[in-house]
Amino acid sequence: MKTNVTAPIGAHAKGAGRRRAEAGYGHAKAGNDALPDRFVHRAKRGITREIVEEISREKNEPAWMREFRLKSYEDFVRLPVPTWGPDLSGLDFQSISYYQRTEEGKYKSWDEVPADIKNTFEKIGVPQAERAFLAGVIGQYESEGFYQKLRPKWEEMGVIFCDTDTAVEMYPEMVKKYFMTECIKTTEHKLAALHGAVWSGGTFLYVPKGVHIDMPLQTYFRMNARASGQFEHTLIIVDEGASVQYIEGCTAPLYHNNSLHAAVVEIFVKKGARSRYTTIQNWSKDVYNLNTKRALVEEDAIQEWVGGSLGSKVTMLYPCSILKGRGARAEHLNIAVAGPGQHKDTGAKVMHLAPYTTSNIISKSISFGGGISTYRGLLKIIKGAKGSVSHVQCDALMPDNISVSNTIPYIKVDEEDVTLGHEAKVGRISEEQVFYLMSRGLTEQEAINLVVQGFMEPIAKSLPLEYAVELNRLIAMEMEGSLG
Amino acid sequence: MSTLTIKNLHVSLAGKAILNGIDLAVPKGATCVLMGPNGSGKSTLGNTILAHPAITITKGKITFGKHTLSKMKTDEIARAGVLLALQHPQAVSGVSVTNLLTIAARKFAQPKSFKMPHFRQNIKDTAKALHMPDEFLTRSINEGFSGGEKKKMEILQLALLPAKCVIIDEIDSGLDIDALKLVAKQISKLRARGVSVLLITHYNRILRWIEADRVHIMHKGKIIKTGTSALAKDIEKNGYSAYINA
Repeated sequence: MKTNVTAPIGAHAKGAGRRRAEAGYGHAKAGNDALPDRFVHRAKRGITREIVEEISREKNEPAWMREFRLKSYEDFVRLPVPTWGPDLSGLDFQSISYYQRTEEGKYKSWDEVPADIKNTFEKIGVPQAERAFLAGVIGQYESEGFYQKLRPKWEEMGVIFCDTDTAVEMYPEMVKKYFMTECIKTTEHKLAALHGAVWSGGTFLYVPKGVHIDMPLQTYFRMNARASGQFEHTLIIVDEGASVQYIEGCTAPLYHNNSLHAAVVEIFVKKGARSRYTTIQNWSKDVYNLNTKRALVEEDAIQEWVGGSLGSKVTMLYPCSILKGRGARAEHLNIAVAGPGQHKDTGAKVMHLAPYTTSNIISKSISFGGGISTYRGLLKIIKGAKGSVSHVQCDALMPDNISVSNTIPYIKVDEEDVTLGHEAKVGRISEEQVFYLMSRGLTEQEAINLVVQGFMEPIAKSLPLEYAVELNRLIAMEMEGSLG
Repeated sequence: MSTLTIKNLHVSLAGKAILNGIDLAVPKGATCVLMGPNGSGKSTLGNTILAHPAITITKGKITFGKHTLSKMKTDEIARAGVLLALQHPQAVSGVSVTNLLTIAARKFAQPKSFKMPHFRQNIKDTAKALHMPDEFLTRSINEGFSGGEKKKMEILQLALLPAKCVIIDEIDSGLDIDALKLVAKQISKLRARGVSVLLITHYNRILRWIEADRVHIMHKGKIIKTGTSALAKDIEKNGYSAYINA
């Protein structure tokens, strides 16, 4: 925040903050207990070669994918747990169930969905639009009608939009070419390897040369999607001169019973193409959310990352842009919210590997109730990437005195002809600000919410309206502890 | 409309006594001026009326009609119709005055005729009357604003929310003469609506355009002299020393 800080919020507010925090936790537990199990198939807990084979068998996969999984499993066994970031010692790989299939498409209308599921969606703040999808209701949500109309048009243009399991079956050559081969490899780290072994679901999107999709593609538009897995694999290929916006919503809280989410997102942005990947994630508070997301950005192409990260116990997430073609550009816009007991280790990685590449990173965090948020950035400009420009801005907001915000920007520049900027600001919500807004008739909570909303405004304005509204609401709810 | 009454008010800030027995009344529809040298406690009085959290009332009370303001929270006081134009308005990043006003307006009991689109138009019209360019309505409030722009922003908000009594703290500092006239015009409009005004100022300047019913001189946390607008003129000519040392 640019505003000068005069005083931290008063003792009264701090007390209220702690109470809110407890209320929030209380709900997380109660909510989890109340959630029903509705899986039709579920693998045994833990990970072994046999489990990996079972997953592949259950999915009826071709041999090449089974082999890929088994090779990834070997990498998983071999690689160590990363220790350079947040404490992961509470993560027990053998207590996790790696595969489950839900009762897909069981309910034909929203009216048939059991009340407990409906209530859960309501409580955890899943947008109305997504609730129907999550419940496996197909053909009821109005956007689907919209999608249905558009789909033949896209298909005519050669657009492929399906879940990744279907892609393995229908488009094996493409999957073989792009799936964890060039962008993210299973040999990189333990969680990428684990993902390779047990991945399930996710989105496969191919946009052919020169095709511009002018409406954002959203997960819940996807037909026949399996609401599966916290190891989803998203693979996006935007061919030369094409453009697309893809949005993943708050699908997470369903997978409450498992304590690990390790997704992989791989994006290929070909020459002159443009891609925007937007995600708002709200995890239940016992989840380790450890993702690897990366884009390979070619000549004159643009990759934009817009992300909001809520909930979870520990989140490690550093969307990465590899600017490999001349004139490639990356925009990173991220907000992380760390409440009581939460540790958000998020940031951005950008590799400038070609001349005249540009990156612009805005990372915002809110820590409250003792939460810890860390910006961890890696910016690398290699020798020869002349004329490259990078700007990093980290803004942290802390409404109390018991929370933590860290900034760890790592910058390695081997080229002299570059322009670099880095700003980091930490703001508190000052007593004077709250007084000012209250003197206009807003309650203390409304005043605090408004300051927080203002802080997030640069992110909110890059989101479609429904997501912006939802993000504001979710954050206000988190901070108020009004869940439940 | 009600009378703002302050009775034997003692106030401390960070453990230090600032106001030492203030008695003051702003009758409904009246305009009272509070003058005094720096550090006399004028702004503290304004902040006390709005229940600033850093201020402690050690004795006395403040009422506004049937409301006991000294027992209410800042937002409740505001919603009772007592509004304050701050001496140092705060910047709020990412929140425009339009955002703030549309949220605030819903918090007040509004007449049945209140319509949001109409209110939005009022914001624009009032800004225009204050010669504020449109961009000020959509930019982050007070962020990077000059002193004068901040003061106009305060008057804009007071003019648009359903005020019954306004406390205006040093609105004249940082304003050039043209801006001061525009601000005075808005204050006169409030008065014409029957809003009572407590004007806190160092100088007589603004009183050229605003007729005061009463002028109070404050020193060391006490009202030491009460008179008419002639008192303000005398101070402009002779300074405070004659009264302070009396």
